[in-house]
Amino acid sequence: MIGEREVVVVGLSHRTAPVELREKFAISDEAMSETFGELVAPKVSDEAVILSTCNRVEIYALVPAEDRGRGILEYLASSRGVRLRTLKKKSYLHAGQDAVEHIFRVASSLDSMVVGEPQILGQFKTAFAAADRHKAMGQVLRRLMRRTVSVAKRVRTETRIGREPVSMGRAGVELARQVFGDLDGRVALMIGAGEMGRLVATSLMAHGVDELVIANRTYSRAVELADQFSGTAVHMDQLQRYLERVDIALASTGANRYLIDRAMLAPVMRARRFRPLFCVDLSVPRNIAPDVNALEGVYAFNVDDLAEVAQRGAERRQKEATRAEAIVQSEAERCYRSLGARSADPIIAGMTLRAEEARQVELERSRATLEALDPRQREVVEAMTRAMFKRYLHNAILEARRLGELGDVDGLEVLNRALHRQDEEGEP
Amino acid sequence: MATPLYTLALLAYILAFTISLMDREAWAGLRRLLGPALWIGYAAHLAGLGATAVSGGLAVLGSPAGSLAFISALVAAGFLWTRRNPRAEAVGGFVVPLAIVLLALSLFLPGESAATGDGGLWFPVHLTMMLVGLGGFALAFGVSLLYLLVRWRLKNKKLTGLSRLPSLETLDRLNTRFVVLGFAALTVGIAVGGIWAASLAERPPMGPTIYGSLVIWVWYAAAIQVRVVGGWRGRLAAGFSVMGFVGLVSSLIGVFIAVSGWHL
Repeated sequence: MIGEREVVVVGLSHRTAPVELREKFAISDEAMSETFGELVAPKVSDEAVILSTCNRVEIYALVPAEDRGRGILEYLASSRGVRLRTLKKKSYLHAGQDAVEHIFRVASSLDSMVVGEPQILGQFKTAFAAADRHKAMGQVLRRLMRRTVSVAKRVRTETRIGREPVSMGRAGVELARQVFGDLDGRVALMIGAGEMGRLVATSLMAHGVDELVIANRTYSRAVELADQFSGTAVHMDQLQRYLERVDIALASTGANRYLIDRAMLAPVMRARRFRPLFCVDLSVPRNIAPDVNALEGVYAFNVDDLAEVAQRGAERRQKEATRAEAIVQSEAERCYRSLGARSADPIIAGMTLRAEEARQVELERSRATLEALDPRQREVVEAMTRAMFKRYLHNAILEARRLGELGDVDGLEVLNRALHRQDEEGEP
Repeated sequence: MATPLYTLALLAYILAFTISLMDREAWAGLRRLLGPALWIGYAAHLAGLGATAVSGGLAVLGSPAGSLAFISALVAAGFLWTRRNPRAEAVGGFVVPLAIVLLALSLFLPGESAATGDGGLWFPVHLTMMLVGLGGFALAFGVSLLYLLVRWRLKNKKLTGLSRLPSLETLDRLNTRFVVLGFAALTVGIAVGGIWAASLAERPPMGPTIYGSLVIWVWYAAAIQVRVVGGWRGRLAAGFSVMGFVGLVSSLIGVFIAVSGWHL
């Protein structure tokens, strides 16, 4: 517990609810203001952050400890016209350290559909900014959200969770990067209009490939695709000419013969002065003769090679996810403890204030004697009395922090009262 | 004074190299020591060079031991510069052993130089430029070996763990930079040496080192010509660097054995 409050997560995700239900709870940018207004209200929550993506809708909130998020569930069910029982069945509710751990897992992309995908952290930052803009965040959630961003960054830096390719598209990108490094400004040639070819081309374009040239047996289809990809359509008989120019060649056609073979590529490579050419054959039967790989400067891969890279990437990501989970768990424990310790802050501030008041009263009482001292001696007395009070309060502050970490509200109250009474009894 | 510092540098480089080989997750924490180990080694290395120069003058750096220690420091510096790119970290696997071998050899080779160090500014400029040239070629050699390994793995579909290695393009670019650096320094070094020799009353004889330097100069000039003018790159450029450096080291060993120094 954080004082008399608790951090909770109420949400639905791709793991628990179908899209038909998730879409009912999706919160658009326009609806944010109204939703925050209803969420941050008495008997619902003190502070709230809303994360609404295509895979999940989650509300992170600071609620009264005895409520543990039930108010938010009821609000969601009534505002969306869904039966509370249905919502409870298809949603999840985490409280306390479990909630903090869940938030860290989501932001670190451990709960994503594709584990390790990078978009979630950006979505998190947007959610954080929206809550800030609508003044829905107080000190506790602000601290928690900042910690969340830094934990997610730590996971990405210390593990390779986001770096291993898990799709055919990313596998193609990774292999191309192994040849070229940066893909910015590269030109790719897509031969055919196969689904797999389009997937890899999309991925390459998303990772920096500048220009896409499309060759197809049916020229009108090439033009259609060129419009879709903002590329250039060319006729199949211009293939050799374009192979001299491009950096990457993707073949994905239904043809049952080699469209690129060694006899065709050897003069192309000489004309290119052996500048690297990365070839990916995604067709079955194959369209690029495998022996072109022996030519200097040609790096040829087929659908099995890409599948192998993607498979290894998925295995590696799974391994990295285990390491990431360990980071998240230890960070959540530490963060929750520190949030709890902060709940003792008002009591500690009160203790310090009362101690300072008592010191001032005593100094005032001895003013006549103190005035007889020279300035240096007066400074020594000031410093000494301050140090005495500090030492006197030291153990009490440590105890207050410990009780805060444990969420022991009653203990904190007893400590506060004891010190308060002590002060009062200390008065002459 | 220099020997303990070189030994410390050697041990730190060996530690850094050993850490770089630890790929298992259990040792991930140890990998954080790689950078500090390299920097400590490099600081000790520079201090050793400084101590050598202070105790025996710049001429000592012209001895077989001094030269190798200097080239080894240049190789280590080149790697520290390359490390700015995290994916180029693997270059260390090829370059750090080279620095280790050169520094270790320097501990066993003669530390006395036949050169007197007279000759004003000519001598330090000539010596430094020649050594910088050799350091550049040594770095190009290490980078080229890694290029050939990455190329072999891509061609033979040995793809596991490949993403930890630098791209072919990066390695090709580094090779070119180091060759150009080495060639420029070698050209200045030879020119300064030639002018200095011509200015002497008694001209030194044309020994194996001078002929060797000219052969090396022609070799790397051809490498740059093929790259810049011919546009050829990749395996050919890497081959030039590897063969050039192997030839260079073989002839250096021959010269050191024959004349216990650089010149007759």
